[in-house]
Amino acid sequence: MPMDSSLLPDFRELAAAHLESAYNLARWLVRDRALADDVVQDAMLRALRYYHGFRGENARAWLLQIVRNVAMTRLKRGGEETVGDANSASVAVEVAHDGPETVLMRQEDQRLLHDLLGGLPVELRECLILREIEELSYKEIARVVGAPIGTVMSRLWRGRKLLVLAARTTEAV
Amino acid sequence: MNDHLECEQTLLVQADFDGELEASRAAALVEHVATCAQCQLVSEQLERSRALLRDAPRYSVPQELRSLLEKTLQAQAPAPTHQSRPLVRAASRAPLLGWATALAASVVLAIVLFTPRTPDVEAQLLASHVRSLQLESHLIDVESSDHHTVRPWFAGKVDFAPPVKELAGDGFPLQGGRIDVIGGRTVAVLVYRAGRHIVSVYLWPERAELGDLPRPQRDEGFNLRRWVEDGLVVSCISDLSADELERFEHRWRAQ
Repeated sequence: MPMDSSLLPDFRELAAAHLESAYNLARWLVRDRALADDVVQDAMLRALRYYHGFRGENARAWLLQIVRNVAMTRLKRGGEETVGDANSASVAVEVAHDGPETVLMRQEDQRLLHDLLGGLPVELRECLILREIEELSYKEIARVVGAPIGTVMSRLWRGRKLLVLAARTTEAV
Repeated sequence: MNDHLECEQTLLVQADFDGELEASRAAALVEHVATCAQCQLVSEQLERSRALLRDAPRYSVPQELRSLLEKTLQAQAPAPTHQSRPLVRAASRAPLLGWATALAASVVLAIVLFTPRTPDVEAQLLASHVRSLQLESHLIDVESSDHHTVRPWFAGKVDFAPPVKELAGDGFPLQGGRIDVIGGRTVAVLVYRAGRHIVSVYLWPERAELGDLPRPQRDEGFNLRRWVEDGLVVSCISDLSADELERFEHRWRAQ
């Protein structure tokens, strides 16, 4: 159907407001910088296409659902998940106010965590990211990942347990 | 780490940790955790996982992507005849559907739709009903006693039109509706109040073949009644007495 161009300014506003969340989710899901760029672009175009049917409730969950589905399709198409960010060491970190040693420690911690989280099955990882980084409610997560709330709850718990276990194993080495 | 050794309250402890439990239930849970070693361990693991994730980077959008997106969106602004992207042209051929249906039509909800039917639909209904009572935020998505508000809300969320009946005159005021997933399929749920009890009415098209047996049954203090009506499977679940739930069914079907 023809795109109503009068809707576009609103959509741009919505996209801009939630771009950070969208990108963060895409990046954590596909774990590849170039692919994440691709996923976000594709998702935004799709979102624009569906925007006329958007009812104005919870724009972020709506948009993240689209991002998530595009990302999952790409992952499936690519066979398995990508091995991971080849450049995980270059994780963008806000460190402006920390001294150089703190910066190093933080970067080390972040790299470790990045690997730990990256090692989790994507279904568990997405729940953790949405809950702990994006701070979505169970209901919002259920909508984004297209699973019942009960499933979200058990995936969250499995993800958390695995993460703690993995961290403990790493520390023991 | 053995799942079988976990206390059955584990997910509730987590829900409380995530601020998803209503206050009255949270208070009761605190008492339980005080005496349950397993749940205390769960609490520790929850705290530990959150502490770990505090270090997780939130990736920031690369500037190039930001500018590219702005350009792309700007390119969508001109009249539809100027659109040349295959993606957009494909969209213009799509029928007028709500976004959820449109999504389903593409790839996205394919997972949901192609999930094989599960035999334990009753168990899922019970779990869903109980969860909706435990998590206050999940009882109702659209809160209204007016079927003129509730009915259109489902448009585009489920691919059938659920009959929204007003039974306030029979002592069952409508509270609202929500969508839920049963057996891998998105279903419509209507919520009615009966005194201090809640009746959840689950609706899905018969062709969804989620389950077959229309039989009243009783499980863990809840009663279930199920019948087929106008091509829809109607399942009512509540902690109402069997007699009262039967009366609910009669009043519903009388409309």
